[in-house]
Amino acid sequence: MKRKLIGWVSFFLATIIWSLLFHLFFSSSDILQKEGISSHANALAKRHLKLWVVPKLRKLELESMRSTNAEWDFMGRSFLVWALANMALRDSSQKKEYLYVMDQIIDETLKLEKENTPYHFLMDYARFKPWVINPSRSIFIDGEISLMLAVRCFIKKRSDYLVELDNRVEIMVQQMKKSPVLSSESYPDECWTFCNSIALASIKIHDVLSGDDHSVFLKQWFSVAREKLIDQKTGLLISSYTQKGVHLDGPEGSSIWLVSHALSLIDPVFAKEQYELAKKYLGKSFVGFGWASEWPPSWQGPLDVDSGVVIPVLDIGTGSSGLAFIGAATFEDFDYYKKLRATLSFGGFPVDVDDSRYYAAGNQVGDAVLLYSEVLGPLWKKIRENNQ
Amino acid sequence: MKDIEESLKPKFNVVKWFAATPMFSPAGLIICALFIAGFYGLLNLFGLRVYTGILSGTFPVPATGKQLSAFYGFFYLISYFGFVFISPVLIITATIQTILYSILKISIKKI
Repeated sequence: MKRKLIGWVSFFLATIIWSLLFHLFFSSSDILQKEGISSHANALAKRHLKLWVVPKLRKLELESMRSTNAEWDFMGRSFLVWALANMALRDSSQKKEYLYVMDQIIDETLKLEKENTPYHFLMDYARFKPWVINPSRSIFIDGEISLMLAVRCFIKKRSDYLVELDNRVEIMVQQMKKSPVLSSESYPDECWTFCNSIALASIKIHDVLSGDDHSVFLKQWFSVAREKLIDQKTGLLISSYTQKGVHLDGPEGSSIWLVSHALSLIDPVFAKEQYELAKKYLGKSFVGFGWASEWPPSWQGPLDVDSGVVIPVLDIGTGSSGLAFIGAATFEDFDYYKKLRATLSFGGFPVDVDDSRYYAAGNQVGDAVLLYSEVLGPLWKKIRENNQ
Repeated sequence: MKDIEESLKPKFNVVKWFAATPMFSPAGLIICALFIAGFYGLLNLFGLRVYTGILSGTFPVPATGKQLSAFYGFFYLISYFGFVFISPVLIITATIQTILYSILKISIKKI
C-alpha cells in the first residue's frame, strides 16, 4: 500500500515537473536578429536555394504541394522572393546570389502564368463561376507577382520588371476602383483582404520606385475598410467578401496576421491595432508555448485549405500559427515569437540535412513563411525611409 | 569439478529478470521509457519523420500514396508523443521513487 502510494505520488510529481520544464527543451535563442541573418534563417534559406538550383528536388517538392493546393506552389515562390529581398539588405555580400534566385523564380512564374494562364496557380473552383469584374483577373496572382517585382526592383532596378510592374499596378488599381469596397476578386466574386492588402503594399512600393502617387486611393481604401470590412464583434478585418462588399468569411487567422504585416507599410497605426486585436482574439500561449486559432470565439467558420489542420481542444490552427510568426515579427513581439518558435520546434519536426533545415510537418510554403518572418524588417523600413 | 560447480551457480537471466520486474518499480519504469525511446528511434531510422507532413495536408512522397503516408505519419506521431511526454515522466517518476524509497528506507530489491 505504502509503495503504491509512493508510486502514484512520484508519478504525479513527475508529471508536474515535466510539464513545467518541457518547453525549455524547445526554446530557441537565435530569434529575430535586428542585423545580419540568424543561423536558423540561413539554414532555412539554404534548403530553398537548393530547391531552386536542383530541378529534381524542386519538382518533387512542387508535386507534393500541388497535389493538395496549387496556390501553395505560387505562395512559396512569393514568400521566398520577399524573404530574399530582405536578406539582400541584411547581407550585401550575398546580394548577387539572392538576386539571381529571385530573377529565376520571377521569370519562371511569369512564364508559367503566360503559358498555362493564371488558373495554373489557382484552385479548381476558380473555373466554376463567372468573374464579376471585367476583364477577369485574380488579384491573388497580380498582387503577389507585383510585390515580387516591386521588392526585386527596390533592391536593384530592372527595366523589364519595372514595365511589368507598371502594367500590373495600373490594372489592379482600375479593377479595385470598380468595386464599392475598392477590392478586386481573388476568385470569382470572392475578394480576400489577404490578397488586396498585398496588392496595396505593392502599389505603395511601386509609387516609391516610379514617383507615381496613389496616396489618395490608398487612403480611400483604408477609410472604406474601416467602415465596411470590419467584423463588429472583434474589430478585426474580415477575411473574404463579395465584390459588392457582402461579408463572406469573418476574421480568419490565416489572413489577418499577414494582412497586418502588409498594411503596416502604409498605415502602421491601423495595422498595429489589427495585430493587437488578432493577438487578443486568436493568439494563445501556455507554459512557454504559443500558437494561434483560425477563428475568434465569436465567429466559427468552415475550415478551408488555407486553414490547414486545426488541432482540437487546444484549437491550434496550423495555417494561422504559421502566419502569426509574420505578425509577431512585424510588430517586434519577441515574447510571442519565442513561444511560437517553441511550438514549432516541438511540433514542426525539424529535419537537418547537411547545413540546411526544413520542417517535415509543413511544406515549402510553410518554410518560406517562416524564413520571411525571420528576416523581414529592413525592406519595409527602407521603403518608408525612401517614401519620406 | 570446478566446471560442475560453475554450471550449478545461478546465472543472471535477462528475460526472467525483465519478466519479474514490476512495471511500477524504478527499474520497470526505466525499461518502459527505454522501450518507448527505442521504438521512436527505430521509426526515425526508417525515415518516417517526413510523413508528419500530413499535419499540413502535404504528402511528401507522392509514390507512397495518401493512405499509407497518413498511416506512417500517424504511427510516427504516436511514437514521438510517447518519447517526449511519457518517457521523461517515467524517468523522473523512477528518480523520485528511488529518492523516496531511500528516505523512507524501503528496499528497492523487495519491490
